[in-house]
Amino acid sequence: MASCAKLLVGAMPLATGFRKLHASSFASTTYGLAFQRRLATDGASSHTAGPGSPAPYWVRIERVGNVVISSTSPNGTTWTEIRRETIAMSAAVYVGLAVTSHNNNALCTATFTNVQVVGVAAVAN
Amino acid sequence: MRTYLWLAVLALSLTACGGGDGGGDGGNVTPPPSTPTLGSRVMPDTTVTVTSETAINAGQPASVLISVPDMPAGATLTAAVGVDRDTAAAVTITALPANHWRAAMTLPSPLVVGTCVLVTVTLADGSVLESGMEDFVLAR
Repeated sequence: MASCAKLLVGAMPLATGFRKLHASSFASTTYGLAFQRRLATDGASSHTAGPGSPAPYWVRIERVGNVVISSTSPNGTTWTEIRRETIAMSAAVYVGLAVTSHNNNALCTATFTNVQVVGVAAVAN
Repeated sequence: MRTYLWLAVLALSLTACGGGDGGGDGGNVTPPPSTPTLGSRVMPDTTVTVTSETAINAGQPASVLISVPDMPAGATLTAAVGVDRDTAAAVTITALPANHWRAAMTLPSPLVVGTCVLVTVTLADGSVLESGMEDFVLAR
């Protein structure tokens, strides 16, 4: 069983019967660090592995227009990009933190520290 | 117009609540004991292990054995070699019994530090699982 904590941005909240498009950087006890995203509602999802380092670790997700960039860092200073993806999200998106045990019958706990959300809207090209 | 959104979680601590995933033996294709395992990576629904079958020398032919014992039904596998996802060169793979594949390639010259094997598993529903740049490194 894997437990993981995610930092995500996307078209939440989730509605029953729909798998919304999203992008997330996550740290997992089993899967290490990774970037996951869904490019279209109800579409397939993609998973790109980052460093195999277990949590605690630093993760970041950036949105620049329709490009979403997932990065990780061992120290919060030096960042390494896992991957970037073009996702046609609406201008307004939800951001959030999520935790899952990947097991409907088990709970798990994650601790997020030093959380920052920085947004700059409507930057002209 | 461009919308810019920057998010950071500065230090993410995770308390585990479970053990690791199990894994099975893929079967009857195994590398000789002396060949080095380049690495193994657990991803959702699958675990990928890559083992070198030959010496790793710049500009020389080489092959690696890719093992995915829990390969999901209907999934396909591809591999590439490079130092960057966007420029990695696809390599020819040959399917072997029991969820093993052999990837044959001529290594780049010079063999830049960080050159790695990238494995992509595409599931039947179109979902894609990509190994990491640090998982199967050919040149450190």
